[in-house]
Amino acid sequence: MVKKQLPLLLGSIAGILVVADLFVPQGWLAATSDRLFEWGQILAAAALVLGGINLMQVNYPKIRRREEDWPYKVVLLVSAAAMFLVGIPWHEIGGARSPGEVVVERGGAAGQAMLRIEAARPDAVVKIDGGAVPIDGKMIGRASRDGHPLEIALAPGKHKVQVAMTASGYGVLDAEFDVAAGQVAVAHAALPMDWGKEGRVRTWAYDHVFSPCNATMFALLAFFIASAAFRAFRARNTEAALLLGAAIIVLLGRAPIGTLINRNLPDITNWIIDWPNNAGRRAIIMGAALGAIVTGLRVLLGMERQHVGGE
Amino acid sequence: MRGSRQQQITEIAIWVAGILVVGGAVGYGVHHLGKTAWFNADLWFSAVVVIAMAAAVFYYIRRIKRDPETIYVRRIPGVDAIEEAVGRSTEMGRPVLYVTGVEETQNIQTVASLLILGHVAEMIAEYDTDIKVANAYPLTMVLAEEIVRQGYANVGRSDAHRPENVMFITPEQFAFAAGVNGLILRERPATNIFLGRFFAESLMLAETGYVTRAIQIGGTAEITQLPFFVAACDYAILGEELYAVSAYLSREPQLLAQLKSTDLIKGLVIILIVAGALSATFSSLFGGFDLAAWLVP
Amino acid sequence: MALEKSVKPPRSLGERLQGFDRRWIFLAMGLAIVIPLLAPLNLPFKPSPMVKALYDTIDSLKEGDVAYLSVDLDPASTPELEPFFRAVVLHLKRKNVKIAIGSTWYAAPPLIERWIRDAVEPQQAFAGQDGYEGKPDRPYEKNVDYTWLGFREGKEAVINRLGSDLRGNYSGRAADGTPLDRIPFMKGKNRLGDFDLVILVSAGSPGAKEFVQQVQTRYNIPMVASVTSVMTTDLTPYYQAKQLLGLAGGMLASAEYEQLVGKPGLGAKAADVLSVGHLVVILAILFGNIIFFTTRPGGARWLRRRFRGGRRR
Repeated sequence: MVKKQLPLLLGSIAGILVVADLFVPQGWLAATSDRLFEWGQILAAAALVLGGINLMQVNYPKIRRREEDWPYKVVLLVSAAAMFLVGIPWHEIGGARSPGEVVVERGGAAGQAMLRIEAARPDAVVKIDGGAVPIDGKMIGRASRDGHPLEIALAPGKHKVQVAMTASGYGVLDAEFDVAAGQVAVAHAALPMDWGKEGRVRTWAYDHVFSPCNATMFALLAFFIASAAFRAFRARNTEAALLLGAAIIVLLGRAPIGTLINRNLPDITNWIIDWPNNAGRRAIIMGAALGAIVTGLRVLLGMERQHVGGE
Repeated sequence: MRGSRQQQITEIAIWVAGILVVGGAVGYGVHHLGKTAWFNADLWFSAVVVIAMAAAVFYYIRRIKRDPETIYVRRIPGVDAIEEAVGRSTEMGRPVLYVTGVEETQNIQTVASLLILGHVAEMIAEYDTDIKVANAYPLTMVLAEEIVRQGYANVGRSDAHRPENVMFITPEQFAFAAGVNGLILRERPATNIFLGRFFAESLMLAETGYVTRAIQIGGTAEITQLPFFVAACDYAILGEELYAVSAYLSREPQLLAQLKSTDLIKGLVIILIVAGALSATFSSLFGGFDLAAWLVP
Repeated sequence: MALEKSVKPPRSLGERLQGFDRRWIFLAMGLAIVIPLLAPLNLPFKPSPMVKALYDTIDSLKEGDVAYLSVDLDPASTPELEPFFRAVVLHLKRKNVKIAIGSTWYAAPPLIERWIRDAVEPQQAFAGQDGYEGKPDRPYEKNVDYTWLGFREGKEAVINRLGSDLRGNYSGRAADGTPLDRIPFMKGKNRLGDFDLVILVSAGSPGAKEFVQQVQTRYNIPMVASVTSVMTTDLTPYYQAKQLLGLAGGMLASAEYEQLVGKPGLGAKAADVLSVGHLVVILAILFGNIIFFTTRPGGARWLRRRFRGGRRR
């Protein structure tokens, strides 16, 4: 009873509450439904730990037994561990370091206000007053010039300075200051490297490892589509031949070359997509929607018991 | 027979009366019970569809229990092929790969896939072959492992179940595709079953499976991926068939009743489509009446 | 007596065709992609009605309007969607429209932050620039002209909440921690419906479809979308039903939009690749059918009769 009936009952109650929330605009119901969603997200996050354990359980024995392609499993586990470690915001341990500050001191030329940038990273970029004050004729300049800190003459008064690295993952000095004639505002830009989800290392790994791999996998589709088309689009019967013809028309019509072959081809393509294609799609969508409602109903009403142990 | 016909009419009348009473009570509530409505009147049609579907399910359950032969379910070649394919795997001594899709557990297609997995696990336990289940989300993995374990237990083969065969790969779409492709190329399963929600990786998985000469059964309700499964798999389970597989395999009266209820509602939908098309085309004859706006304000 | 070596009979044309290695098709596709990138064909194309409608909708915005730009993609879909993003940002900046950017995909933020640094903050188009005939834009300042709200996990639930409580969804702050109350153009912007236009740059799910289903249908918000090619058929019904006021589907549509904006870029370069790539797929289909017909029983004989005038029996 406890193993099979209780989960079914709990699932039904939770599901009916969420469905009821859609139809019954009562605040307490919406709050309950939101809370159930939150619990679901917490469960999913907890399951991530189980997933990590499963990853170890599946791959480590294969490494130990030196099964086929075991080096790739070493790469898998090492990269998973590495991304986990670089995702921890280490820089916040013991208090986050300040990106820097602007200190106004005396020492400037008489009648002139100056800004001096002393950046820990010389290749940082500098923007003054959002780019309104030009640096060497451009809105952005480098923090060091010929190995010396950048110095810019400013009109006395309030200004804003931003010193940042072009790559993300470093602290940004964004400060306002008020400098009078004969004073120098010194921007000490520490620009510490960040860790964590917006940190430098993680961003680097995203840009140089994840992004190319992700794009490469998606790019494989171009080859697979050609190979699948070669294999599967055979005019075995009349319907297949019609499908084939429509596919060729749409392929041509959706590329600029279609207009060269016949200027009406894009319009014919759009007609095929807008009318016969949409008619078929809508029928499948409606059928699938009804099937989805029924599947949901049978789980809610406890008729489907596979997920709690069969009969 | 006249007696059973009378009974049917009586049952239908009771259901209609029940729906009217409930609907009336809700309507009364909408108008009279306090400032906060107890029913979102704009969604009345959706509520009617859901209630009608539930009512139809109960009606057909009772009808099937009385006379199981009244329900005819057409063949779904993709589903019939599952058992053949499992048998082929057993003969070749190679495992079956089952992929539950790339969506989270709460997605209805993943739910449908997990429900089918239970039946497939029982089949595999009976045939004494291996199953590898690849999951994109940890929670799906947890559920899949429990379902496979139960499947083995249902046929008395608990000892044969290996938990490490139910794997969590990764939620990242193309990393998942790469992981499953690696699994296919290394383990060389004789049968690949892709059931659930898929996106761009569907063709990658199917084409890689083709290289290993596996029998492939692909099923999804994701419209954009159906053509890829049709082109690249040996058998395709399209759209709503995915939700019917569990009923088809188990042949339980309750589940078959749901297939019939779907058909009934489809009939109503067809009537509404025709009525809507007519009302839109000849709206001036109907005093400018817009059926669509009336049904879904 | 010496044993004779077994000699395999020569394979017929049909058998050789049956064993055709698909890696030749991969090679042809590879060349079809690389060659047009190195030697552009510059094939002309004209904007489709859906893209024109999208352009006109954005063009109808006035100075000071605020657009919500939801960028839901990953690195894999940048070839199809990045050209549109850059073009739409230029279009909005030219019209001095304020931009609030958000995302529901976890892989998107690093890309968005890079594109903000490349395309939103600096000036993109200068008066008299080569190959550009439109108005110049200007640099945009963070939290003055645009704001990056960040990514929120939750998929459809987040999209749903954007429609009713956008500020709550982002905890009242932009991604850099700036309270939304301190961003002048975000005043009064509490829900998606408060924005003058919602622009969706979407690679899959959750994305344009969920926005239309969860938010547009409920709150009747003006919305346009740029999606990947495969999603176009899914979203065309929404365009036909006027739930989307414009739709750009795929790389070619992005190129068409670039053309309308007046600054052809990555999309225009990729349009040639599309043409040649599609031709390769068509040739692969035709070749597959030739193999099919020549290797089926009677197929070769039929072909010989048809093309060499062989005797009928």
